[in-house]
Amino acid sequence: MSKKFFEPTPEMNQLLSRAGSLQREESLAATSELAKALELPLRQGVMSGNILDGIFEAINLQPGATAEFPLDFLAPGTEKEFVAFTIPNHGRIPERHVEGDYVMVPTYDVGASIDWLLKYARDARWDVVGRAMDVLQGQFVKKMNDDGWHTLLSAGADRNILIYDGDASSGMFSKRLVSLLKVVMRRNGGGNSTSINRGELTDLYISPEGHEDIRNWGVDEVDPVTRRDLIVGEGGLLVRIFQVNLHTLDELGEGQEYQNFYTTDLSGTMPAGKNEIVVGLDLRNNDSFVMPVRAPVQVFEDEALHRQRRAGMYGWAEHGFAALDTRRVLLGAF
Amino acid sequence: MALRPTRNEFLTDLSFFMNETAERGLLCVFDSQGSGAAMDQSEASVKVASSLDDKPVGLLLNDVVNLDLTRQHINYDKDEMQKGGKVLLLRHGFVVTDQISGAITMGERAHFVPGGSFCSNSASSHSVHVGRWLSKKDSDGYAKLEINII
Repeated sequence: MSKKFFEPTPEMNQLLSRAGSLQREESLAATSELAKALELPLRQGVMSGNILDGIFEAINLQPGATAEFPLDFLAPGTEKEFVAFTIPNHGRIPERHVEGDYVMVPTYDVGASIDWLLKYARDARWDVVGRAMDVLQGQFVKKMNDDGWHTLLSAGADRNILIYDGDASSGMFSKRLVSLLKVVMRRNGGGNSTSINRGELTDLYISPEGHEDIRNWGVDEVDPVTRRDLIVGEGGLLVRIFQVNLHTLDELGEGQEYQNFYTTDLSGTMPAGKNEIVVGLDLRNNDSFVMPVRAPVQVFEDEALHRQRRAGMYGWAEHGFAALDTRRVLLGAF
Repeated sequence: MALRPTRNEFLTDLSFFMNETAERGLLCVFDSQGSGAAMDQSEASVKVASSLDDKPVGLLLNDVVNLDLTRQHINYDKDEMQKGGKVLLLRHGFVVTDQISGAITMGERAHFVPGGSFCSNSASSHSVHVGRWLSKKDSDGYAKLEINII
């Protein structure tokens, strides 16, 4: 995933060798340089190598700023309160007093560390140390992925709506499911046919197994030309159905961690004969999924390990996740 | 929500303090009395009605909250007041409220009950009248209530 960031150059090898020096000053200085050199790619890696890309909007907070997000005073279900009415020829029109609300998204600290023997560094075993850096990066990526997706799944489960295609076979992803999800997202998104920025299903996250079901769609699902493309085409799979982008997530699917999170942690129920969930999102409006960042990932060298003949890095970040409008999330099942 | 946006605040009063938390839409009654204009006398205070014999002042238009303001700020997006501050009371006008006790009948006089919500004239026991019902309840339990405290 991030090998390109850690391909050694002669200078980096030399830096790493100096990091493994038994001279404390030289080792710490080199380790410090190493931390700085790795911090930037690590930040890039965290933001680009994850499964949250394009979903959460990262909002960098200034020091001392609070992560408060105002909510629209036109709350779901109150649209009927704002309709013009017939008036007589003269008379005082009543007031329509509106107020909003806000939510504060808590941010929290996330920390991770990695360390290795100085012998590794001394011998310029860059593959080992590079792998250690991958693991350090992976710790942040995994934590952020889980926290972000747990937020999405919780928001979806909170709606208490689970869409499924009753005519489809158990465990079979059908294109009618996409169609049903689109309709429900529209029906429950507020507004009417011509409303601007109304809810619309734009992206659907499914398991690899569900995505592979597309290959098995019969002639009653797709025409023969499309079926041929599914077999011989580059990539071989549809990535967009009914203007909805399809994404596969390894974490979704029977027995997988996000499915388990839904059924176990959220106590979500599955319809009879349905085995796994899909997650539909409205990413057109960018008005719901926010990720306030109080402090991006920072990496430091660990000075205390030298006596143990080790070197290492540690880092931390502070951020939070929120789904401000649950109407932008819709769960389905197949 | 307690109060829907549609209303007619024909006459309001902002001279009374309130020393307890309450939700908007409840009827407030005299608690202690100020003297003269009493515009900034803490003695001029109201409370949520607790007895049928209470003397009505007006319908509460703010939420009154009790927050630790040294740890968090008040909700600037909502019209809420800290307990101990001044509140806005509706004395004449209409609101759409769900602070309703029991069944109501359009056209009947409106009264208050202990707790500050409103009832119809046909309730078995009630206070002095403070207004009149101008609609029946909608599907969410809200009805149009004219407040006229004289």
